[in-house]
Amino acid sequence: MTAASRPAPFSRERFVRVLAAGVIVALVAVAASLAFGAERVDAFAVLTGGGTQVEREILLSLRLPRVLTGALVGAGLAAAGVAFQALLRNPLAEPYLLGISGGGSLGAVLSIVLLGAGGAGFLAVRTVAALVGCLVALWLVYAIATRGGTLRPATLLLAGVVVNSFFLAGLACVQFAATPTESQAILRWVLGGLETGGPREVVVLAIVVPAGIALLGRWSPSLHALVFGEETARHLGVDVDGVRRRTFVVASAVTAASVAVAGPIGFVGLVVPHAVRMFVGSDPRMLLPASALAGAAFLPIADAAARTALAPREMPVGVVTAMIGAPAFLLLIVRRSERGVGETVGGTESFRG
Amino acid sequence: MEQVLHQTHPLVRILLATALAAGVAACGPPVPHATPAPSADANTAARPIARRVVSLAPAFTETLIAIGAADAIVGIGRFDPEVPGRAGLPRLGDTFSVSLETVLALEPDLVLVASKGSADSLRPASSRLEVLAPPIDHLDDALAIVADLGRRTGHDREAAALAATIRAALDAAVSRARQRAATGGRAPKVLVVVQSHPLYVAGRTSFVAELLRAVGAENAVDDVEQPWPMLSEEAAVARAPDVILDASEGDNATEAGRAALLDNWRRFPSVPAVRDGRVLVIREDAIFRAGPRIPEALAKLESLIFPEDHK
Repeated sequence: MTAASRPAPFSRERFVRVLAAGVIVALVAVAASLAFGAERVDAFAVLTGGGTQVEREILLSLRLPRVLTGALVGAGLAAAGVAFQALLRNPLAEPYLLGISGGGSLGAVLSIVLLGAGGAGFLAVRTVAALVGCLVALWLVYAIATRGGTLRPATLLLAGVVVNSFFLAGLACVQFAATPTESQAILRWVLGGLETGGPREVVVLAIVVPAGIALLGRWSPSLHALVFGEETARHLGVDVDGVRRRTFVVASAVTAASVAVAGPIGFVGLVVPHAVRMFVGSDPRMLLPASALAGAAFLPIADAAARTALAPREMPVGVVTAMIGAPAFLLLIVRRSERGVGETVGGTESFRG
Repeated sequence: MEQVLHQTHPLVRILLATALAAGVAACGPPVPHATPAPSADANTAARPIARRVVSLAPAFTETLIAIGAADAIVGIGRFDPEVPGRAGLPRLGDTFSVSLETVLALEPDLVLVASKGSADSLRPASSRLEVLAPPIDHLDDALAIVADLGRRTGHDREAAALAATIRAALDAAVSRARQRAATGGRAPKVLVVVQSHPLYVAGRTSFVAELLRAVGAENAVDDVEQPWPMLSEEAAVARAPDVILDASEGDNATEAGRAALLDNWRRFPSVPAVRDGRVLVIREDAIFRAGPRIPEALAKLESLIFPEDHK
């Protein structure tokens, strides 16, 4: 992690260079994900107007919307991860581990059971319900971790784990009370997956996720200031409470849109920012857009693995991200305990306006 | 239709239960190893006749009704059919949750459950209860259960008659299939869908795949050994099924849901079933249930797959 502890200072040229590299990586990953699937399809031929009818249907009606859904969900979860990590001053914070995805899932499931919002036409209702669930989870975790006036990182994670268990128990309760028909729909909100990504889902995500990332990016200088503590940030003229509130809501909204379409996909917000941090450092101004682009590369690739590993069968992409994410999480905990508890994100960096 | 799920999606429900259990009770005690239930064809000659039966799965309940043993039923599962003339029978739970105390209070001399997990949850009362969890996934299972329940409830003759009816229907279906093949008819490739997002379909070892073989149709997913695999949509399109029987749970219950299922398939006009208008959204629980309605299931499948024979 020498790169993370001695990052190059933030500059416009470096920002453009990192962003350009990120865009290239994301485009290559999306193209590669389009090329691989359960069936052999000549993607190049189809995209240049050729290919058989079956190939066109598989690539354009199935694979393309799914890859785009994966890119948008991956970007959103990774950016939300960066925002939560900076805001909560904890490198292990992540929508899934904080119970925020679990809250969103329960919100989505309740909207299905209470309002019958299982079909595609109810995507907006489900997104709002997921957002309410995300915000309730976040409020609970945050309220528990800040009792006594200061934010305690260890308590935060423990509270996240417990709140997540609570929401999972809530899902189990709904599942046992639900009809078999409803419990079928609930299954999706436990495992997560990108197979529901159709054109409508892509449109909703294409509005919410880039807008959310743009807002988070705009506030990233304040997030960077917060890394050095609230007092320092206040001295630098940052509206700490306002930024915190706005960032919480927007990062939760991005998470909620992802959960409403794909269910809870774990660890993306953890693995991606940490990998990216090794290359660009911890400054949220650089880390946030770079992680969003890397997330847009990571999830489609993980989903391509989930689609092809057992073909013609499939497994939910959440299985792949958990297989990568859980060991990465443990590794981070081990490293953290070696360096002492309480370390905050980017604590060694200098702040430049 | 609600009952269908408990017969159609055992894999899915087990997956869900496992996922929830892993999240909720990751540190819980290990689950005791399931004790194999007595097999359906065990020697029951010396056993007294069961007069108070709790039946916690639709196929068992339907079988008891069909062999004239409805009077012996004292409790049924949450999703079982109504027992004729026995309105108000207590409903006791399902495959995944059954209350031992409630079952014991009914003082049954026989309890029928569909899973080893339910049998395990009744184990503490094994000295007072006879619990059976016979396999219920195949044609042979259905015939074995009919015979066994006939013996246990003292309705051997009715059970033998029912088994004969089932066998005759099977033989007749196979014979008609041979005739179709002899007259040059190609076996149509059929995709049976039980859930659309994600896509779960009938694999080689499912009950409905056995029925397809019996009526002379080819299961489009016969190369996957599992009963209910989660299939890639790409693979579903590439296999070019001639007929798609879409029994997606929930979606098939409403007019809007059925229209949405058809719209979902219309994206793939290269698929013969779509091109020829042979995507059929169905709500047929009989074709998923290894029980006494096998003749009905065979007739239904034949009418759906070979409509020209039923004009």
